[in-house]
Amino acid sequence: MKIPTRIPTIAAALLLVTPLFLGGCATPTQSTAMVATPVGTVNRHPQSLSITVAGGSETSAAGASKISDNDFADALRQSITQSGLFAKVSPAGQSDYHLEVQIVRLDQPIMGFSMTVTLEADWKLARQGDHQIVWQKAIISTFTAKTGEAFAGVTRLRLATEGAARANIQDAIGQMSALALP
Amino acid sequence: MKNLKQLLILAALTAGLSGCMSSQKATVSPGADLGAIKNYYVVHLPQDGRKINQLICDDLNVRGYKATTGEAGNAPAEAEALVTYQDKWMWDMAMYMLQLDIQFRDPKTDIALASGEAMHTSLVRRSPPEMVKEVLNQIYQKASPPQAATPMGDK
Repeated sequence: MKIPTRIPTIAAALLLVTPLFLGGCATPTQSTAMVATPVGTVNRHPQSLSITVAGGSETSAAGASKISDNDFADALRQSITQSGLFAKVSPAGQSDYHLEVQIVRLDQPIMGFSMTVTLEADWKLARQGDHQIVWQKAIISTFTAKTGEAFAGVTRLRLATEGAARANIQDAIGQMSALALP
Repeated sequence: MKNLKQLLILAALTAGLSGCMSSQKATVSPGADLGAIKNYYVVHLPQDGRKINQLICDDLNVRGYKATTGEAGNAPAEAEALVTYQDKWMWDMAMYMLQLDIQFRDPKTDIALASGEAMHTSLVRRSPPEMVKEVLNQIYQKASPPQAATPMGDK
């Protein structure tokens, strides 16, 4: 069998492009892309709120897009401020209520055309003074970024991750809106 | 021939870019006291045909805890924490466990008390029992001083 001495350029190009399409170099999620728009009318609580987020991860270029604590907290702060759910978002220790979010699990596909990401976060709302927990819930959200939304796989993964975070925040705001806070 | 060699090197480099990565992480919820938990129930993941639940159960028992396993909804009344997990597998000459996530949950609220994960790509792959041990080590090290984390009998 004669071994080809010249491999077509298109084959070389495909070898380089295919990993980029399916995987590639990751970029971190953007807090602005995770800001949630509430569905329906939001019940406005007159109290102030502080926020802490834990359990997130920083993104490494060779890995997948992750959600950092700071970015999730920023998105949550903006979501609450824009929705008017609480009168004010204050620094920790200077509010009527404290919201603690623990990012438990971020399930991301390894590669693919359509990418579906699942995010599980534990939410806990407590009164600042006596630390009484008034609401606690594990919220699981999913989001799918389809093939046509971006060429590069890493971008679709980032979009799906941001979408899952957005949906999680949206669900939490909806549930907190229905609370009758003491 | 020179072009073929160059192309093969390029292909190997491209494929190998993600072949040598590992990461570990663990989180313990504020206020969660893992030291007080002695009795675990490992919930079998319905799509798990490899019995990873049994590996987790066995590792917890080796650590001196009382662990049982079974389907969701069948946890014994004395279980102080539910253990859930998600495993991810890849193929590279053979199937290997790419990532394992484990969570300890409050049996009443399902809220996570602690969680851990480990990821190893092909060139640094580990066996499922090793992955289980690594994730549980991460969780217990996060929750308590290092000398309390490793199983008894480890060198």
